[in-house]
Amino acid sequence: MSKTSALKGKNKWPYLFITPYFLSYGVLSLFPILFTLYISLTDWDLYGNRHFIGLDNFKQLFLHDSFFWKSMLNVFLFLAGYLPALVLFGMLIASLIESRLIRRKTIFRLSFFSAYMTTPVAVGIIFSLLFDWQGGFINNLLTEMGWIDSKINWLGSPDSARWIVILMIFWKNLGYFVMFYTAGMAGIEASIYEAAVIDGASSKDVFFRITMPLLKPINMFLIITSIISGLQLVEEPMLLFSGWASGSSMVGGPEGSAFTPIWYMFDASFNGSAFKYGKGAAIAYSTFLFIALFSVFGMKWMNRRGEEQ
Amino acid sequence: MRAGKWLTVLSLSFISLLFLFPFYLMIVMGTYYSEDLFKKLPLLPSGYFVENMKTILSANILHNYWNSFYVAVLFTFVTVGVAAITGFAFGKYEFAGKKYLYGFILLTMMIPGQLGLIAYVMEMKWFHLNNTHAPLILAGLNNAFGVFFMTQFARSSVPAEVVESARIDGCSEPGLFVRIVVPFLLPAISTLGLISFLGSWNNYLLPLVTINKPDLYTMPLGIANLSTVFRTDYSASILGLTLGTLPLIVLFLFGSKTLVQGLTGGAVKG
Repeated sequence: MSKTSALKGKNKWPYLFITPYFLSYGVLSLFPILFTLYISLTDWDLYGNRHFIGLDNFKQLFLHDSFFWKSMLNVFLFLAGYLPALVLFGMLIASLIESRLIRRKTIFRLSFFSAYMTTPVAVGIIFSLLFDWQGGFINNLLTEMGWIDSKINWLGSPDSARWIVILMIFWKNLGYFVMFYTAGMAGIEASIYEAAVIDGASSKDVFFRITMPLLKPINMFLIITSIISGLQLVEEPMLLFSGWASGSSMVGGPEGSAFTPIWYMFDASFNGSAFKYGKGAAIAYSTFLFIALFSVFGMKWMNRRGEEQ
Repeated sequence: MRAGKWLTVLSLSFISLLFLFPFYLMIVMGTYYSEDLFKKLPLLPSGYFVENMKTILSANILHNYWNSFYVAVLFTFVTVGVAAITGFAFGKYEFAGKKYLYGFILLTMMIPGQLGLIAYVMEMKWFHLNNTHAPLILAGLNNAFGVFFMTQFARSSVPAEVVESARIDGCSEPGLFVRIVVPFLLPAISTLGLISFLGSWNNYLLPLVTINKPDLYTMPLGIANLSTVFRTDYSASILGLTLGTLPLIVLFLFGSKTLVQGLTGGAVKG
């Protein structure tokens, strides 16, 4: 009560305090977002075309553009590959770190977290160094060991290229997952574990019956945010196929097997000879549509699962 | 029990060494003479480090560092500054429309940043700000997550009594924010600061589409272009990659506790 009365007569201040945010939001975010929507309805390009063409860009994308669907399929294939692995290995490694047998927990946590803090650009380049056809470390290692006779073109065939992208994102994000799981596990009361041990539970039981259910909220958070950011994947595959190590770049990877929607958006609007802003804007909005769809379903699913418990 | 302990320590150490191996390889490869790099497996450091260092320092890499550094500092400053004062207003005042305005900010948190990229780049061209660092810094002005984070923190950690008594002592509202509130917000400021700094430092797509002068390149652009600059000198490029990434990783490992608290805070209590 005293709080509100003391604030009377000073009402202009909160409005003044939030003005910079909303002003800059309007000019630097809201306007570009709405204007991109308008651009997506035109054939706007670098050469002066600015005709309003309605939903033609979207029709073209959804009905006739196999690259768009391929890039969408790719990000889902990647997610299907690395997300279960991140959840599984993230929990396993976190439970190893958090077990009472390990004393120097921080060192292990940080060694996994280092990849997460690495510039995405460098992540792509490091993996191109590892898997390069002629000079890559993996091929050299395999031939040195005598396990293969001729070098494998890892980044040159669609299947192996996809697996390498999956491995790369797994490597980058594992530390992020480990961090969340260790934070979550550290928050579980020791008495719960002690009681389980007294009741004769094996360590397998403890993991599957106690640790995993208690980590469910963290899992939901990690899975939904990973899907949202996974659909926006761009820098790492872009640099993996930029030709940093091999000298020859390949947009989208072999047969577009590593193309992602945002990469496609970038390529359509800022790269090569195209500069088709209209098409790029349509790709941006279509991708956003998918993200929004999955966020809504994800939240619904999260809420329903929450109510069941 | 003892055997189990050693098994756990050993397997965990093995996994983390395997995990860190790409970094090790990157460091080691930068110490080789380019021609020797493919003769045998580069598992141990070679003696060409100083030579490669001379090559790489003759290029723009220090300049890239400086560009990235000052852009990241300014970006962090505007992000944290705007988020702190906006968060203070939402966390500590009652005013008409507050619920809707705050709800709007939460809603915009869901919108991915790349959605407006094309028009943002056009807008920057209209303002004649392309080929400057301004588009990179201005992008920090409206960080919805930052406002959310600061509002939560201000609500729970700035005691109302302290604010009240400062008011009674005749402190103006802006003075109140600077002298009384900011000190209470410091933990949140440092966390959001680290996240913002890292975000700005790692940003690649935005500088890629707004900057095409090598003089203005930030670190990620510099790294991506190393292979074109040192076409024939593979080891020097890799050393450049190491220099461009490793110092920041090491630096951030020291601040990682704050960073992790900020990142996990939304999902994990405590």
